[in-house]
Amino acid sequence: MKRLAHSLYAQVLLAVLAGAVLGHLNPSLGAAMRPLGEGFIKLVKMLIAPIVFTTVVTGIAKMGDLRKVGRVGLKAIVYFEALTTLALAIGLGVGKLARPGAGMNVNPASLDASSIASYTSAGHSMSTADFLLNIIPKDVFDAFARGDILQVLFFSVLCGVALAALKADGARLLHLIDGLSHVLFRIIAIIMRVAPIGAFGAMAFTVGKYGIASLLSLGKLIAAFYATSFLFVILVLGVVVRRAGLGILRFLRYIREELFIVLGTSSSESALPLLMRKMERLGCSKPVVGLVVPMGYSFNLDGTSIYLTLATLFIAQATNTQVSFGQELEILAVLLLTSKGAAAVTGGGFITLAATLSAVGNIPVAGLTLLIGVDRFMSEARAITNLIGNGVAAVVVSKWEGELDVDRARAVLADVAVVEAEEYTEGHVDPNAAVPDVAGGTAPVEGP
Amino acid sequence: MRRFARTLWAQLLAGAVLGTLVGVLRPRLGIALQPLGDGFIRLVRMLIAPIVFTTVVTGIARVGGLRKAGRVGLKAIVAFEVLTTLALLAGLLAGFLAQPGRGMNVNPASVDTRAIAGYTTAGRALTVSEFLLGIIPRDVVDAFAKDDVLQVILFSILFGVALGALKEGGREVLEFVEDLSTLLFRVMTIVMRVAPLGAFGAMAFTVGKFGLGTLLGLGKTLAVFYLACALFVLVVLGAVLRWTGLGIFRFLRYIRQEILIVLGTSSSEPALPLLMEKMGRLGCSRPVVGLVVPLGYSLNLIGTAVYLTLATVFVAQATQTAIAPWKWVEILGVLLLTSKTAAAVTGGGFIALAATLSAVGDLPIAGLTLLVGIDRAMSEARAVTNLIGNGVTAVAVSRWERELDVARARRVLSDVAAVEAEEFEQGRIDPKAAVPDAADP
Repeated sequence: MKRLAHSLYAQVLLAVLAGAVLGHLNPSLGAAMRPLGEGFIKLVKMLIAPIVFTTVVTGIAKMGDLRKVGRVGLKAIVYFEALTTLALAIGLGVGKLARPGAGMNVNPASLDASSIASYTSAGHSMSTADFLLNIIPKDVFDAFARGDILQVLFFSVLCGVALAALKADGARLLHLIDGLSHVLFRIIAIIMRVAPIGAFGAMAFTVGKYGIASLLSLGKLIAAFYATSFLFVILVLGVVVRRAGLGILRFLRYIREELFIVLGTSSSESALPLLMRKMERLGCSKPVVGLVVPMGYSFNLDGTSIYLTLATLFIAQATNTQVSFGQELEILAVLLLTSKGAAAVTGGGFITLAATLSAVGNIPVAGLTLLIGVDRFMSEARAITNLIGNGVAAVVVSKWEGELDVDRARAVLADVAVVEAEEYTEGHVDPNAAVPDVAGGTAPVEGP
Repeated sequence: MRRFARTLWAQLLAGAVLGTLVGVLRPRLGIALQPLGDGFIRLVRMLIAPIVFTTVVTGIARVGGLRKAGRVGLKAIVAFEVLTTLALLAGLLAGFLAQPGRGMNVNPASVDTRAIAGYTTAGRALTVSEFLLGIIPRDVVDAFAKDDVLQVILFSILFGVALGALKEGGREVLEFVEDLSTLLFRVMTIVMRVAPLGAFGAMAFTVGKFGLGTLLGLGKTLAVFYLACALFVLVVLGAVLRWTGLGIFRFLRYIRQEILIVLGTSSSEPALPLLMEKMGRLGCSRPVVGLVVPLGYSLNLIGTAVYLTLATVFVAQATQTAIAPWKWVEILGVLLLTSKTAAAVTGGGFIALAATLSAVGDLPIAGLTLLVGIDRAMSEARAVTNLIGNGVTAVAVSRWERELDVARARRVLSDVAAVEAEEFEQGRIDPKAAVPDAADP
């Protein structure tokens, strides 16, 4: 029990519960807790660009080969496309079957569109050429200063490849960047001590500001979305992970810390550094993790994809707009594009949705107003599904590259608690450390 | 004599005096020399964020750990609070005793407030949580790009603690940061060669633009403020230094270079890196200097504190606004907050004053117009007092941490000229070097 209370995941879970209770009992006090959550998210976010840089550079420089980088990148993109397309299709299918908006009979003209004005004006989606050009930073430091992950990733890949080409001449610099990476992960470990406080504040704010009652008003939509996300994780991602030789439930238990942090803060970025480290410890190859996870944060948004099609159909149904099968295909095609470009714009899913609705044409954009009150709750499930999807992607691409140490992965998954407790007491966040010493794949059996 | 002329201190003095002369004799030429002063300030400012980073990181990683950093930070904040509260009280007292605004009989309605429009709109005081959230950078590199010293300090503390915890594993990075620190201080030495030129230009501009005449117009206010600052430095800071075992006059002579730079440029930032290395050389411990001095530049504005209460009293007296005694307590409370959070807003003391006046309500903000003309002259004394206060606080917190080498400090203070000359000849600004080699006195 003492050990449980010491683990980060137990503390975060308790904090989330306490926050929800506070927000429910005293909404105004709960809403006032907002700076705690925001502060925590900011603390993690300020380190994401440098962490991505150091991880990717060291990963690629050690991998040593431009061809291999290209291959991993291509495999990642193929996998991302396949999974997000599937997720979009599933959202569409659920929307058609469950009909969450049927019978609401909303007249779009009566909706006050002023609350969504900022989203719709920002919501012009970029052309493909613009999007690609934007991956090239104006200046290298500018990319870091603005925290633009795709730009940082681009520069990091170039740096890593160049460093690998220098071989011995680059050894000192590589060493330095490697050292920097250790320092940054250690800072993350320090920051994670206050993760429970952040999760508490963010949860108290969410519940206090939006209230549990707002959930009921659109209960059917939310239930449909949560159920779909859940099934997507268990069935689709479950099958994918099984092909890599692992079980999804154990995998979820392995990343429970990250799940609770995302749940508490409703931001998937706050768990990015932790997820990268965990996937490496699981036995995924370091360069693959370095490429796949940060890229996935822009391109592999499984949860957002499900949400986009489901919400589009919801608005059509709620406003009694007829959508033909041809239009459904059109929506799918538009979303395939907008859901990728959206990553470059802040504000995430909601702006993409606005852009899509205006691109398709006959579904009233004003219908977005219906969703704004519950967007925070939707974003919880979006962020968690995105997180799990990215973890699975790292495993799958590693396996595809023949660089997943399945025995090690099984051993780690089998004994999560020991790994976590050990790491917590040592204050370790070293990706290469704290794995139970396994010989030939026999997991040490100990504890519960 | 030749040796004297070669010290930076003598050159700075010559630059400031020459600048004043040019400003008096040829005001237009003086104004045209503004780029010299601005250029020098920019040269130093571009180095401040990285210098703070390397100093704080090496200081904490070498000696520290999280607990040490926390303790020093806490002690520093306690010291800041005590000193700035005393300074606020001193300003209030000076205002009541000297009554600088009495008999001016200004009607606030007749004052043209356009000159202060820019300050009053910017003068919204930050809330505490906004201020705290603002200390966390959006991105680490962004903190350096925007040159936000508090954000840089936060990241540097985390970095130093992490580095210290890694022990052997972080050695390479630590050595690199140390090399970087040496390099930056050397760049600083190069920049300091042109400091006399900067002081010359800035001084010529100040005198040319505002003229000695404006000083006389509000002479009483200025005189009271300068006197209050001088007394505060000698009496309060003197007592603090005495507690650590040092004398204030010798201390002031020790940092005369920095005082002249600040006086010349009327900005306390150009002297920050120099002050840090000088306090290190004096015998203060490195983690303490690394934390206290940069933090103090935002949170320990003693001169600004004296100014804020004094100016408030002045505005009340000049506009004949009656303020109940308990109201002063409220004003003091508001100032305790605004004087801290003002650091996060550019524009410094004047904006903080505008924010306070609007927060209190009774006092006409239009009264600020009276002070715009002499703000530059006021800011000289503010900046110098802030500088001295930060140096003294670094010494005091070192002593509080029992990490002040008093014997060494006395030795350094007693032979400033030799230290300075040696350092100038060697082109050295390494905090560990250039202490005269002497056995116990």
